[in-house]
Amino acid sequence: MIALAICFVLNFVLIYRGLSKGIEKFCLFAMPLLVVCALVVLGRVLTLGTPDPAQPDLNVLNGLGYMWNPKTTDGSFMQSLMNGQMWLEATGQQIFFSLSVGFGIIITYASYLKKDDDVALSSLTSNAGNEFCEVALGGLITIPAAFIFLGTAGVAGQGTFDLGFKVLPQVFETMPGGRVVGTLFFFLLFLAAVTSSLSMLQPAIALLEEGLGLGRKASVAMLGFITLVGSLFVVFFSKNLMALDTMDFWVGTLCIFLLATFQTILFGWGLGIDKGMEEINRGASIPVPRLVGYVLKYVAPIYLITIFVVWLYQQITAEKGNYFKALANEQVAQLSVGFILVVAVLFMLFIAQSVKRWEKLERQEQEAKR
Amino acid sequence: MTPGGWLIMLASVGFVTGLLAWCIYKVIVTPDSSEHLHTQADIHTPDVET
Repeated sequence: MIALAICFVLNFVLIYRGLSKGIEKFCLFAMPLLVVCALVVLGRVLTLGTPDPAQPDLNVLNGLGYMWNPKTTDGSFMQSLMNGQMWLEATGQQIFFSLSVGFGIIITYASYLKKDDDVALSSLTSNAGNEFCEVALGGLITIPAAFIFLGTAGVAGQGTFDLGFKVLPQVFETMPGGRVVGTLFFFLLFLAAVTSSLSMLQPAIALLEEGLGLGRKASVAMLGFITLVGSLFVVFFSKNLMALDTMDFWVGTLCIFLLATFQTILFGWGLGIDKGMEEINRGASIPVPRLVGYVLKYVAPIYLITIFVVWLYQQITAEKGNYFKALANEQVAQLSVGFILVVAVLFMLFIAQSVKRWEKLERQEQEAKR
Repeated sequence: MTPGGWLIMLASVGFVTGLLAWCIYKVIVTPDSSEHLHTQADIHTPDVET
């Protein structure tokens, strides 16, 4: 609770004081340092050998095998590939969320770019950096280390986020200078998390300031209040993390997935691939193959809609982990979705009011020109 | 660690590492490319303007 309060206050103080830009400039140097720290940790994990001679099975090779071996013998590999929920979470929660695609962040930042800015190389580089950290660093550090220290039973059913905080301190303990590297690593990770949460707050603040014409103080107070109510709601209904899980699923997975699907269709069919490819290629240092346009127009929407339909069918018929059943039977789930709807309606009203205000300003500008 | 595991691991890690290295190489060798690249820090939303 105290940690939550500190993070909450820190985020809004940084936004209020306009320091987020400074933090992000600092992170230009801090994030490469975080990658260097992660490479040091990776080196240590890969040289752990068999830390406990009494348990010879818990070694590095078996840890890597736990992460990377396709489990074909018991059929779970094929079962996973046929699981709609797995594809939905891999696409929505993992890829779209970690790249900020599907929600307002990228659109807001895109609106501040200049005409000839290199969207192609910027996007590819940030995608490559993100995938390198997740696949090459995350995939070789957290799960193998968790297997080595906790065994199969300790890893099963736990998220990598949780595991990282349990296992990495144990890795740091086994390395020379581990306390220094560990402190630096977690501090930099904290900074990375702060920049992420700031980037999620900035579009909303930008809307309140630019759209409604509010001052910094009023914008921060309004968004702070909404965020505070949401945070307290999650804390109050913390039993089995029901409220957090419900919000995380409906907003963090499903809505992001649906919005990204909508944006893909908008690009391929609304804007059109000719115009879209022209926009991508303007100012680009790397030529983007025309095939990308066809993938965005045909392959991506079919893939996304298929996943959604399969997931929907599996959810409706599922006995366990059924979010629709939870919504029908659990009061906390209903309240959580209700809260999401209230916030969504509130922001729609803000947007409608902003559009009215912009139109009025435009009219006034045109009248002044006459 | 099975041969299939080695194959998937090396292909995945190799691909993302190679892609990142190529991107960084492109950014460095392409003249003026960095002027057209942006991080969040370069984007001036109203709340970061002091």
